[in-house]
Amino acid sequence: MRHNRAFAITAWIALAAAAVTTLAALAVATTAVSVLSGRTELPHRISLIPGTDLLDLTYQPSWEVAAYIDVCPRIDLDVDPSELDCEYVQFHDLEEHMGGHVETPGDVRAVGVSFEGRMYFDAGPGWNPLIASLYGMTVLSLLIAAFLLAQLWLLLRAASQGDPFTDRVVRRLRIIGATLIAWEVAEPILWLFLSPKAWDYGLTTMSDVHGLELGSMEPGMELTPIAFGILLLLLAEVFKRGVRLEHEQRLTV
Amino acid sequence: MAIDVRLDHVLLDRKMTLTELSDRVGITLANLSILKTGKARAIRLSTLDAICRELDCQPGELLIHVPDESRHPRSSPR
Repeated sequence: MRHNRAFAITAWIALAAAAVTTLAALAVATTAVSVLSGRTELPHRISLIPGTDLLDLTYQPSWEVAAYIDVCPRIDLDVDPSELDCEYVQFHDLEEHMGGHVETPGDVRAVGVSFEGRMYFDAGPGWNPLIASLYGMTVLSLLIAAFLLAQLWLLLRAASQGDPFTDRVVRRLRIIGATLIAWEVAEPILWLFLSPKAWDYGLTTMSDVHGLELGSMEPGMELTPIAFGILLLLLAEVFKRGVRLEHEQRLTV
Repeated sequence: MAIDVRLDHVLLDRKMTLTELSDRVGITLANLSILKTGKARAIRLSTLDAICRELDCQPGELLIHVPDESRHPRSSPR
């Protein structure tokens, strides 16, 4: 049947994705053990198939950083901008403003600029708690993703082998939904103990980049995965009803 | 369920096996077995029509309503 074939094809795709994700987790874990035990330097490229360039993973421990700058309401070219607490940023239409005192247009003006990016780390070989935390959370995230993909594979395989309204499908939906919610709640809590700030690292800049700060946790609790997890739990209840209807149908002669 | 299926009685009376009935009415042996053993939750009128036609019987001979108290009589208090 066409829908069974569709389930079977997507099941194979989910299985392949789970396998690659598991492989990536093992590669990162192996690299972490090698770096933290002092055997190798911190690599920036991990080969999933050693000795080849076929499946290379670019990974470097990093952390979220952000900066916010206040925009000066008025640009005064006679004043040295380094003496101010704000930055000269002019948001204007295409009309040029030349020389002397420059007023920013009154209709729409910039009041602040927010930057988000990542700070990449390098460290010497040997034990370092921050590098170990970053590697550990990466491996854990990859293993959770692999687990979810494996559950998706089992769900699609069960659906492809017969009617999708079975107890096995209901169970897989509940597992995936609950895991998504649990991980989204647990991850920020783990970062409270494993972030650079938790290991007493800070940031000082002596450059043109003012106000740069380390993120407190990464990536922070997001509502989208939690909402998706709740949606899957609700879908499981719908499928549960389908299981009951299927059972009734099977016992209708 | 309070509906008793007396298919085995009627088959015995008509001297027919379940397999023969299955071949005649075009319903699988598994489904007829579900019906005969009382596990069925519902029966289609088309199925009832086919069985009654082959067994030359009335639906009332196949399906008997047995009130719950008759199935599980209450024990009198001592």
